[in-house]
Amino acid sequence: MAGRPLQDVTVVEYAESIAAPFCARLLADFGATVIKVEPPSGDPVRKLGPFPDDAPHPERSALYQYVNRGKEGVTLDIESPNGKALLLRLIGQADIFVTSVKGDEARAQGLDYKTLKQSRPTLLLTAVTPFGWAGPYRGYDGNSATLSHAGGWGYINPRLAPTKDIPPLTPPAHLAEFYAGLCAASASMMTFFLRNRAGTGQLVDVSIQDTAVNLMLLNFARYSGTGEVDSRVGRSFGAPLHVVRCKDGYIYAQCETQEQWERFVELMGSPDWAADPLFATRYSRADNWEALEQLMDPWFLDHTMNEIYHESQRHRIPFGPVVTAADVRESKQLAARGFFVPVEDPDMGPAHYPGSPVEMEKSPWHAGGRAPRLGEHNDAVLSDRLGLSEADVMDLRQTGVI
Amino acid sequence: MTTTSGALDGIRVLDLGRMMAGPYCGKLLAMMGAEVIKIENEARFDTTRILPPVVEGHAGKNGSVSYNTLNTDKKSLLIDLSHPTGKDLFLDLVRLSDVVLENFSPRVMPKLGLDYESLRAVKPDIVLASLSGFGASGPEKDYMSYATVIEGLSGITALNAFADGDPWGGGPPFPDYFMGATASLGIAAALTHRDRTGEGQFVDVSQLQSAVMLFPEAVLDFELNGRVAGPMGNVRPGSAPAGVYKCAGEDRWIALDVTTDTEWEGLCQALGKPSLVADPRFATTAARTQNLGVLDGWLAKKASSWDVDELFHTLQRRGVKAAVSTSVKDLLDDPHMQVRGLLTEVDHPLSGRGISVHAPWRLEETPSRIEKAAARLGEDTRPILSELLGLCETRIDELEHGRVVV
Repeated sequence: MAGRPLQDVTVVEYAESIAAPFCARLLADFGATVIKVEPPSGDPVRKLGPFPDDAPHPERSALYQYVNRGKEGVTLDIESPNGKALLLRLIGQADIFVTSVKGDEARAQGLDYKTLKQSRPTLLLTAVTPFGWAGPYRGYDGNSATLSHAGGWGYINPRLAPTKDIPPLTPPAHLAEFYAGLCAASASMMTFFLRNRAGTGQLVDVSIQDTAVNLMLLNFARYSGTGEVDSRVGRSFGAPLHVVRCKDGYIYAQCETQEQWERFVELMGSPDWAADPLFATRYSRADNWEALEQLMDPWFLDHTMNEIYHESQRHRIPFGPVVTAADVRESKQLAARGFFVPVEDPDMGPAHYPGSPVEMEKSPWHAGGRAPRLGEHNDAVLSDRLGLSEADVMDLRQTGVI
Repeated sequence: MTTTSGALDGIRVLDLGRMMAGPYCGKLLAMMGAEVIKIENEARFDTTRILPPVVEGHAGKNGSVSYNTLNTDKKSLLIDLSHPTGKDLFLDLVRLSDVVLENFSPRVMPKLGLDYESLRAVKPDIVLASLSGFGASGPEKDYMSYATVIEGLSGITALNAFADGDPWGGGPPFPDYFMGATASLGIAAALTHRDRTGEGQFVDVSQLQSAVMLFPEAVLDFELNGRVAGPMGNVRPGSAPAGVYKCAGEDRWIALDVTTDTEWEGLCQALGKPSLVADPRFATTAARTQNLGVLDGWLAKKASSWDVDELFHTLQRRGVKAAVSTSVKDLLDDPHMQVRGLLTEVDHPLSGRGISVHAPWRLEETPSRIEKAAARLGEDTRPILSELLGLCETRIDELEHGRVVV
């Protein structure tokens, strides 16, 4: 039977930046109608690149496009009473409300769970904010650059730094915000599943900090077991478990099992040094990493990333090349999976964007459509959904509400 | 409104997960109320069971704190799936389950005769979630994948570096969590679809794709502009200043990120230098980017005399995005984390008290559940075989002696 898990589901998004809008984007991927409400000045992520030809333009941000495709776009000035009333009417018709507004402000605006559920008891409210809606830091601000540190990820990055003089390194791009958006979408889907069965409304309070803290699960385990506090420096759990230089770049080399190590020794041509008891176990190899690296160097430097990647994998050795964005875009594996999807946008021109991570035949996880221009669906949404007359819409436009 | 204790109450999951990504996904489902039965056997057990730290003594395969905090609220069942009778027992369980979850290499389930079609034959609406490095199709599908491999192949490692420096492996095995969370969304969508249509399906998750999904910027820059940008370290495009600065004390660092002129003003006020606000060298993001070197030096000097916590609160009160670059120990002591309730302790009879982490979302009506550390290997074998499959004690003894359920 055809159909998508969230067909007939309406999501109203009043959110900016990456995490919360990406959550709503993922819900659109599963068939939800997402109405994105932006202030008349636009979501600030429109100012973030990459832009075609590096020319900033609010309708030409590839990041905005990626995070907002498949949505309808409405502008509303919710500082004005009319704008606020219209947002509340949209939420009144919604199944899921996704927001990036912080908790105290939401309460002040009447956009909190307690208030909204009075008129709509089955509403799912998903809030994705830097530090969450509960807790003393709930009013504090942040983005991936700061929250990956607040979550503990930055403090242990880079892995295996030689000294603590190397500063904590912020993970690249917006990984913390994107991961938070993914978590929020998963929670929204699970609570929708329950709502569909039992009619249960819900507040889903996602703290971007919490989602980063979640990645520290093994580090917490280690602390509980040994009292050791992981940082950037310290011993590896095994070796190789390191980024190693090769002929034309770097390899992330890992031998998790003894069998993998033995196969790797064989691939290197079984050099005599490999029989040294110093390198007998993963732990002794980790203890003697500097010596081991020097001995392996000639082999690595004699081979390219691609040679090592495919040769090692053919021998069931889990090595991965440290590739660039160009290699990702041109990956044969990703091409075979149909991962990059074309997006036709009149302002952006045609381009391929990362698609969905999962193949599901019956209810496809399908990243379709393009992102809305600022206020593109004002007329359609306000007249068709809310039943406003043409004159009403004109009036809102003239008073700057939309 | 029906009252429930978990969003996934009544959902039974057979968890064949190993190491991180699969078990993490299973843990997410367990925390949402699903009944999760982890299936291993004595010969082919989840090797995280022996991942350090392991308590000294005779704990065997039950002494790993990592395993025990990563597999909370799961039951443990022993079945040898390569034994014909074991396979039949497994299929009997599939008939009674909603989800099968596995993260073997894509070759394994078909080889065991347990591919999606075989499961569907006994349970037409089953959801099979397969988590693998590359997905179940494509030229590299059989390649081995650990978080490290995907870190490299996603393009993330290449940019996890200081400007002009060597790339570094990055912190935790984040691609495993990325895939686990991705799979949890796919499973929840498949269950929702099943409730609406009666159909199950195969959920084919690629770890590489889940990592690239969360890291689109560099690949889009290449797509649009043909550029392969290098690493930027702690500098961020569109932010000025941005960085991580050393504060007073041992290994204490503040991360801050200024994206607007208002935040810049807040930063100057917080650091007691309001005169800088009017300085034309720093008036706009463009100007600050041009003079980043000067700013960086000034901030490094300023930060070094501050207590990091005090600086964090001072900056935030002035509206500046800032954070302490925090350790796991700091997080345990943090008053905000204590209110969030994300971190909790679970007791295990062999590995003792361990810290576990709740679901990365807080649900008002159906909170995340962590009640019990992981089950000991095989702890629930007999009860599951007798209560769920209705086998008598004699039959279970037979299966044990035949090494089917050990």
